[in-house]
Amino acid sequence: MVVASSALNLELRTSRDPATAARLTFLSGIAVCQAGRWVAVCRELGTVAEGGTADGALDALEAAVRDVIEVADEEGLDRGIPVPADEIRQLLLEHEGRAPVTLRTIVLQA
Amino acid sequence: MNLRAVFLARRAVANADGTFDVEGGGVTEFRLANGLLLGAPIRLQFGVVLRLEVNEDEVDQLRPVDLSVTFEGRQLGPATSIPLMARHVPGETRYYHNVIMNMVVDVPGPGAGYLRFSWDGGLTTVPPVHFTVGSPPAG
Repeated sequence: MVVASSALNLELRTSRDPATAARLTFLSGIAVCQAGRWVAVCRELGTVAEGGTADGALDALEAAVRDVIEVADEEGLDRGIPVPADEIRQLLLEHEGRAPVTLRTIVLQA
Repeated sequence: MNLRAVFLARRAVANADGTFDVEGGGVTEFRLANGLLLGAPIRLQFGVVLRLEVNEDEVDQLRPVDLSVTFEGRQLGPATSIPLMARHVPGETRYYHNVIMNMVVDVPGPGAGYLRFSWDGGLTTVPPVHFTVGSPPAG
């Protein structure tokens, strides 16, 4: 029997004020273990970060995504491009060990 | 893919060895301990366990599972796509996915909600997982 595990930390924030709710942006990060290091990728922007643990890589990704968006918006550049499905598949293929692939919602407020 | 189990829990934790721990499995009602703060959303924190069996012909393929949360008829946030893939292992015929979710969900007040899971682009759905948020006890 083969059992693959995924851990998902999902945040769904909302607000009774429609204007505040409309300013929320939901992005998603996925972290896999490669050669003993955790690599995290933002699926919507293609931003990449790494860390010693899944949470560490996702924390670094969250900070990197905020920086990328801030700079891109200031400079009038694209924020990034979505990661194609076959690259996500490749990322999951390369995951090592029994620790779960870890996903996290990144919530940004404009 | 075939559904083998889905349930809510007060807390569910994915362990580093591929197992998971569940506390308060089967919870369906969340009751507020204190009063409501007028105008503020209620923040719920709970776990969800989803166990799927993967057919042999689906191994090595990306099989995303879509999750949406509705509350009092309104979808909360965007739908979430959970990318899953079982890797082929020579000689193996049984493949499973354990998806352990920690949810932080803001709801606007007491009421009823559903978690809805689907895959195959929405062609396969499972019965929605129901939960309620009760008012604080009177007095």
